[in-house]
Amino acid sequence: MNSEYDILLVEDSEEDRELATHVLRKEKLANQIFTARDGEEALDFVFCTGPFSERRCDQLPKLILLDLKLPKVDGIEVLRKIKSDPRTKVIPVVIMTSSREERDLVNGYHLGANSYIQKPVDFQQFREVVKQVGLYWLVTNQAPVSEEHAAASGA
Amino acid sequence: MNAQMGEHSHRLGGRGSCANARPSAAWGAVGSGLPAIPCFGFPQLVPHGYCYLWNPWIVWLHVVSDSLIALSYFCIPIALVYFVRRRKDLPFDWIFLMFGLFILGGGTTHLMEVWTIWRPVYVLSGVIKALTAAISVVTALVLIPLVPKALALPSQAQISELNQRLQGQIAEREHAKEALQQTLRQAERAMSDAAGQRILVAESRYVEEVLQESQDRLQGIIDAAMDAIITIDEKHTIVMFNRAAEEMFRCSAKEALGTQVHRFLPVRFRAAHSSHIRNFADTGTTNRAMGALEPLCALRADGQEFPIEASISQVESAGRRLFTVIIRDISERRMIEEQLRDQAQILDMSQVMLREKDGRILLWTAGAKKMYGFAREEALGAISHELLKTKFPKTLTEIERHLETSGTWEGELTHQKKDGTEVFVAVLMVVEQPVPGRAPRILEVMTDTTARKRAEQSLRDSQARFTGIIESAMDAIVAIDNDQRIVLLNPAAEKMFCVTAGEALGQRLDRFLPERYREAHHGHVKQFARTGVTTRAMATLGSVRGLRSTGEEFPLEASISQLEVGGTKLFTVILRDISERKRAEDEIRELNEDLERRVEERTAQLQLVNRELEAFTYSVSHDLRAPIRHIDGFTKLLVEESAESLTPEAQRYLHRIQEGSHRMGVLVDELLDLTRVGRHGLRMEATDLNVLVRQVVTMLQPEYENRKVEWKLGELPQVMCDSTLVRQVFQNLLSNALKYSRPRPQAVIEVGKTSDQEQTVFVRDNGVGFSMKYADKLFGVFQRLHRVEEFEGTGIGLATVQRIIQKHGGRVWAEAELDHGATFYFTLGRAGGTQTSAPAAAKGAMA
Repeated sequence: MNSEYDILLVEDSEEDRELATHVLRKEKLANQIFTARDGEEALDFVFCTGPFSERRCDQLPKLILLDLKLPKVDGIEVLRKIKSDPRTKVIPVVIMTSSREERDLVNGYHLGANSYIQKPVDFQQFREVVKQVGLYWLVTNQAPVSEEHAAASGA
Repeated sequence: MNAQMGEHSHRLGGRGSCANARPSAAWGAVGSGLPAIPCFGFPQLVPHGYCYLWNPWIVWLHVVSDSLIALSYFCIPIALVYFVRRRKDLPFDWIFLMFGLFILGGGTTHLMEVWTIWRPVYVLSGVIKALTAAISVVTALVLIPLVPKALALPSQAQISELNQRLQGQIAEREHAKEALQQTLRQAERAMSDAAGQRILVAESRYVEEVLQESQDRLQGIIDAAMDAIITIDEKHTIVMFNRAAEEMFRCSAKEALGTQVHRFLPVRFRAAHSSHIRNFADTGTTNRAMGALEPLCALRADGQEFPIEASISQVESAGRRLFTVIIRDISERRMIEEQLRDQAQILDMSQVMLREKDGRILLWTAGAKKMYGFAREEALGAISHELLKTKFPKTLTEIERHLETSGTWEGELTHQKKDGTEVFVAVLMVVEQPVPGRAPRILEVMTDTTARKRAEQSLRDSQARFTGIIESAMDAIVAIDNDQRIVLLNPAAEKMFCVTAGEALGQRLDRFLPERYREAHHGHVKQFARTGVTTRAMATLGSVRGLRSTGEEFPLEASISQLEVGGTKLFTVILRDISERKRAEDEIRELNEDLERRVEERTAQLQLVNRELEAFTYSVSHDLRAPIRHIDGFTKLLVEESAESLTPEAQRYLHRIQEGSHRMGVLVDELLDLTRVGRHGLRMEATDLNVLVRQVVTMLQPEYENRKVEWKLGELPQVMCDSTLVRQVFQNLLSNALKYSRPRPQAVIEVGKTSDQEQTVFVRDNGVGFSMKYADKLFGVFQRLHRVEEFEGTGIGLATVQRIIQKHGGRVWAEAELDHGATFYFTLGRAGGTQTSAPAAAKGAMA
């Protein structure tokens, strides 16, 4: 079970990926972070398709940090797919984006996003936000043991 | 009597012949002894006395007899003459005079008899006899034819007999009355005296007979009377009721007799009537007219009341007082009087005057007074055409001549009322039927025709107006009759169809239609006539076409109306040549289409621009922020994790990099705020500005934590606005106020509203202020009035404020003085921004 990922980070910016990973590691919030660089990769990972068809699909990430502006398949589409599939809709999805567009915010919540965070420009603030999100969803919050998940593990 | 006279004369003559033969010896013995004298040459003749032998007894017998006869005869003519002169009415008066002469002659012969006893004047005596004979013969001859005529006259005897009979009747009546009274008295006595009964019956039978006869006669007179005659006794019981009364009161005498006369009086008169009769009885007057005090009324048996005229008389007989009332029914007379009065009133109400031929007014009715205003006393005696200032249609003489020949004249003329206004009058003059001894008068009946004249005038005026309108109308107007033949064509129609009215009148309307439309058109007009709708537009725009006489077709617009004039149907068609309009419309349509196309293009362009702008802001917010964050992030990591290996100089540089990236972040955020104001619509809601201000003051607390700030928060209004945006306004303004008052040991920041109607809100500080000469740059994007070293800032805050305020339809402005603080004012449009939402939203959508 070593291959179990705590967090799926969907982020096209390498800098952002590095900064976020740095913060999460530093705070010891995640053992395994899988980073997807675009929407397609994220979906393939979650649904064990494409390059990830060999992956065990009962291993769902505990948290998905999702950027919206992504190459190939954008974040909103990724969110829709994840939240419309019974197997994956229980996964907490936190939108972390630079966008301050209200449209994105509204869309995100409508599609079932669990949280919406605007990435602060100031790194100090960024660090605080990432830390709080990680702590909350991975430590504070009690995740449900979903039936699908249980059924999937049984299978 | 005449016969006696003739006989006498004859005897006289016979005696004369005897006288000639007899001596007159006795004469001397009897007479005065006068000597015998010869007469007329017959000396041998002896006086007549000789014939009597002068026997004195015979002589004197003759002398006395003859003298008496002569005397009598002489008296008779005198009486006759007196009689004839006194009785002018006497028929045949001349015969009486002849009798007079004849008797006079007779008298004279007797006188001569006396004379001839003593003197033998036989010649004279004979002559006189001859004269008397002549007169006698003439009288006799004249008298014979008169006898039948004279016989026709009632004789004295007859007259006196009549008189006697009348006297007899009166006496009889008196007697009967007396007898009646007596009988009555006897009857009274008989009641107690049965012994005298037999006599009484006999007597009363006789009396009854007499009485009956008299009463019958009286009854005849009474029954024949036209008036009702009723006799009542003292107790007002009816004792006599004649036939006229029966008719008048519709009650038979049988029924009326013995009843109270009151039954024939209306109840209201009864009491008064009794006392009147009593009073009348007291006066003792025998006869008097009744009803001096008030009009009298009587009551028929059937209850109908009617007016009467009555007189009453009283007779006292045998101690009993009887009242006889003679009554005349005057209902009819009343009715006629009333009719006459009504007629007089009607006449008085009508506008009539009666005048002499010369115009002098004799009768002036109330109607005339009402019409002209002249009172009766003003009009009477005045000359009518002078009083009324008559304007005649022809000369007065002509009218008078017409009146004389035909008896009437009828015409219209103008009169002037008393108040000076003129009236048109239709007058009928009628000459009165001639009455002897009076010049015929003229009756004038006047009718005020002013209103009619005015109506006629206004009708003429309105006709003229309509004609004017039709003539000057811009549209063609064509009227057609039921056969669709043109009866009217105005100048505009002449121009439109290139014809003259003269050519077109009487022609069919369809000559102005292209042939292909004609049949349909006929049908339409007929159909329209059947509907009874008065006006209707013909066909739809553009589908009707006209035909000019030049052969040119053109589009027209038409409406049709129908009306009945004098029983015939008239259609009026109003036509407008719309070639020009069609052209203009086509042009407009083309222009519109072009415009629409261009608007579409422009809209597309704008939409593109909008999309680009959106994409730009999106990328600004998303893509520009990321690098800044990265710069900041990695710089921080470098400072934190490798600080000991960096020189202080390198650390300072890294600090500068961090500052720059921070400023860049603020700039991007503020720019996004600014563009967001434009890109979103307003969400208007009732907002308490006081709450907003307190929220902002709390939010800004980190900025003034270590400073002395005095907040003066006045009462602000409740307004309709987008609270998020207005919060932004307060945030920017208060943030500025804090920033620019930083050099002051104690900042004083005041928020309030002015007392004007626009609910102007202001934010005032005691900061460094600014020079008003740069006031126009204050709200420009990236415009700053201070250097960054003095006061940090991007120059976007006030631009955002202005954008938000303008979006609400309000105004923002500032007043300041360098070093003496600044005041920013803003309004949110009228009525707190409620009315500004629509245009502001539209503007927002465009941006």
